[in-house]
Amino acid sequence: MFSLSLKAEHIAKVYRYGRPHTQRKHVLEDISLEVRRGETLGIMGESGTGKSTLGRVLAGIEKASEGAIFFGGKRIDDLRKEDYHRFRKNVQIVFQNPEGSLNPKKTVAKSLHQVLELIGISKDKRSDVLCRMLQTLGLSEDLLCRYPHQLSGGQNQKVALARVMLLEPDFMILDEPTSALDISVRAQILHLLEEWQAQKRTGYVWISHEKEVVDFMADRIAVLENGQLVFTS
Amino acid sequence: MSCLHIKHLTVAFETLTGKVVAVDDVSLDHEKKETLALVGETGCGKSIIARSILRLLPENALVRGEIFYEDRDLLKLSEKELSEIRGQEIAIIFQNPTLALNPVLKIGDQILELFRVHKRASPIGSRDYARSLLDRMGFENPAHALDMYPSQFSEGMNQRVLIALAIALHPKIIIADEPTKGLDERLKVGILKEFMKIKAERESCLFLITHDLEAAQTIADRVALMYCGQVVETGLISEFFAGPLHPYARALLKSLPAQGFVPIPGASPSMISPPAGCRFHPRCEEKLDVCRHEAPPPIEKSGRTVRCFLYR
Repeated sequence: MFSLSLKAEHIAKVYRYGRPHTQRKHVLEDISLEVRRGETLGIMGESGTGKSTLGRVLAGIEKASEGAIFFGGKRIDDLRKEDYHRFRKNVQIVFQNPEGSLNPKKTVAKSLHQVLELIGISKDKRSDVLCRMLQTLGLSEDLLCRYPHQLSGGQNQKVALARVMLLEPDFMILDEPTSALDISVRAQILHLLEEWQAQKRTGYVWISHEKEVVDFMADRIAVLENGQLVFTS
Repeated sequence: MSCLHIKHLTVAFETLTGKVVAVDDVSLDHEKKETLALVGETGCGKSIIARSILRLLPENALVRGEIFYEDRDLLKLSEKELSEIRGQEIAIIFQNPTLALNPVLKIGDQILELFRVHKRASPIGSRDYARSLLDRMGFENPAHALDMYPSQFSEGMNQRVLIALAIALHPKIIIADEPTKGLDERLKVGILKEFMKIKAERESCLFLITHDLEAAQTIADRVALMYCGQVVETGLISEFFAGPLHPYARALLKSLPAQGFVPIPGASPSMISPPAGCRFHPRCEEKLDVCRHEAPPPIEKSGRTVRCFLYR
């Protein structure tokens, strides 16, 4: 059976810095990996080894210096406008720093309503959909009128997850999604994302330095060291 | 002897939907040379307590109670008196390193700013000291790191910069709000060792706020467990892990990886309208009838305190 995949082929990422941008830092070198719908690929490695950069390149929000990303067998650089929009909707990222990924000028309700508007949910149904999602994530409706800076780290992370889950994407790139959470909420989120995957067949790229979490969630594991893949299973 | 004594601290915020009591009648004693770990669920008010100590809360915060540091109530000091304590005597490491650092200043300038504000050492000597601080925090090329911006570092590296900033002026109390969050295992162990070393060398008190029970177990002497704005259990860390008293503590330990990430049933309660009686009772598997309508007071039990009717 055909299964939609997100694939990286020979990805390299180089940052230039210094004056006048003469120095180069190789963050990723020759990375090739693939994740299919319904499975979880864990990406592990120490801080600063390029895990988050790889996540952003896979999500298409940062361009690779070399190599290409393929979504459903098509190179994302060559996608037509409509296909590109489909890619952007269906490959979502949850950032390591949830506070930074939410608009500080918008209340939680506004941020989430915007998503529902974008995916064409009619006005009269939005509140119901939103309440169901908050319930799924164990968030109280009191939070809807608050701004990101008025929420705790864990609450912000759950709102960031809600925003992505409302889109029901094919793939979710989760960059340290539970590192901001305390252990009981982490356990809830792990079980919740496990159930979500079983229901929706979402493919996860789970970026984490928490070995126990990756062991619990991942079907396969890739380990990064100094920007290179040193182990895949 | 206490280095920090928090008495009946209550912090509330007026919001559009009502009053949020984020910290409700919390009393804590932080002994000298001790590491006290404040642990609990997301949004339970741990960070609000940390910010209350240095009065870093937003203007709409309604704060009641007393926080004594060397016989002075920090809540009653003038802004000028407090600015001499902040950083020099009580330092804080914030939860989110990328937001806590100034994005348009180089790391070196941010460390030197501390010395300028507190009028310590010459800039040249300070730069050498700044380099030694980053070296101590495990930066491979500390001289180069001084000329980098926070955006050029990973979250973990910025966390280490924040710790360097916090220890720079040899404070007596270090408040560390999730200092190991976002760090990989190797760095986490390194940072925890560093904290133990700093504590031993300088006899500082460490007030560790964390969701990481394993980190707390590694370095803390005592633990205070919070739930929904209240401290529900305090005691020695060894006793807490060996036999937690509060049903919430027992449930929390079950959600550790070794126990298979067993989640606590139900959701965290609303802080605007918390449950009547014991705040944990809707999620508690050991609740009694009394828990539904009466709030348990702190109960002393063999040198520990617990807010639970099971011990009345």
